[in-house]
Amino acid sequence: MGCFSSKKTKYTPGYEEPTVLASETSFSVSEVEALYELFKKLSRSIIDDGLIHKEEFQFALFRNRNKKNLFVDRIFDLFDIKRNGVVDFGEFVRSLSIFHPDAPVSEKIAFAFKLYDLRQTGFIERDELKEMVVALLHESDLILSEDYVETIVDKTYTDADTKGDGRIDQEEWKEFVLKNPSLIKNMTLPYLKDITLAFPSFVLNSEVPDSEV
Amino acid sequence: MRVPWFSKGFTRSISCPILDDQVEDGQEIARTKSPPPFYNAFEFISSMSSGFDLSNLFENKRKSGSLFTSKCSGSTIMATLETVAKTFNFRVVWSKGYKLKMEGESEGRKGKLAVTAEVYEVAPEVAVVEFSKAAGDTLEYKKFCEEDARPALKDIVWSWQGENNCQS
Repeated sequence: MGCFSSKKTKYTPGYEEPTVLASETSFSVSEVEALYELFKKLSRSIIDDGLIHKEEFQFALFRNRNKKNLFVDRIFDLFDIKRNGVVDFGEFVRSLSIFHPDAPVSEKIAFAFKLYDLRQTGFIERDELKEMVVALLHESDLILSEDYVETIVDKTYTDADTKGDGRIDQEEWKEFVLKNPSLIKNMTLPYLKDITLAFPSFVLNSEVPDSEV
Repeated sequence: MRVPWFSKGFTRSISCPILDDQVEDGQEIARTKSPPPFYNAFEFISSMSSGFDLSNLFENKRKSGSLFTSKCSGSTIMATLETVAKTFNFRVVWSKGYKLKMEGESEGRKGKLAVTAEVYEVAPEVAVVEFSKAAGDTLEYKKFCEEDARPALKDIVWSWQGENNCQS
């Protein structure tokens, strides 16, 4: 069984019970417990306060705390459900749940839409798409002429904006994804199914531990 | 020839290898008639961006890319891929349009390794090539991508997915 610490376990701020989180997400109780191990590791990497700050998220994804990236900003903002600038354990699990292989496709489609809707207007506007293409080229250190960027955006828009009103709404996005399912392949992390193997809980318990009031 | 793009710090020559006809005439003609299928901007963003790739939260090692961009023509890329297959004793199981499947000759840990490669076009003269494992052991597949395919393809690769992100 291994060592068991006898001091009272202190949970991170915003901690929610694994049973509660499991009932509301695609994760099992032991998967939530495994995610807690990952969460603790990520949330103490730069600021040891039990919360994931944007820098820590950047560090986890790029091994570089200072790397500013439009896409990381978007993901972080969506994970930060309470909009208070940090991601706590509850928010972490609920957001990651959408990436679980068993999560409903409709949730993945909706999340991807919100990711690309940079200014949260409820539509993916042409200039938002262009901004993302430019950001991607910058991230990959590739330079394409303005004409080529316009061509890429135009062709994509022609395919997606079926109503021809100059912006992509949720309905058009959903149809577009159903025609091109690989568009949401980054919305599924197969790794989440094996998370208990990667992050075994050090405390084997069959009952829920006492939580701090 | 007007070159519409360049890579930062790019010093090596821009020309793509001119290869002899190593494919069936039928395929070559078909490829010159139509370009690779369009790889739309969302596809490009979701595949190439490390920011959108949350698997990095879980994996400690830098993930090996199985996707690269190229400025060569679709038919040159396909011909190069077929050459690479033969170099590493892979049999080209089928090659049609801008997709091919290759299979290793020797039995690996989980049977013969089979890899598919697909070429897409983002813009004229900007292609994206995606590898995926069709059969066999994942570690052998990763080894093939990183140790065999990568160096062999360097003449046609512009940028690998996930590169240039580690600068501090």
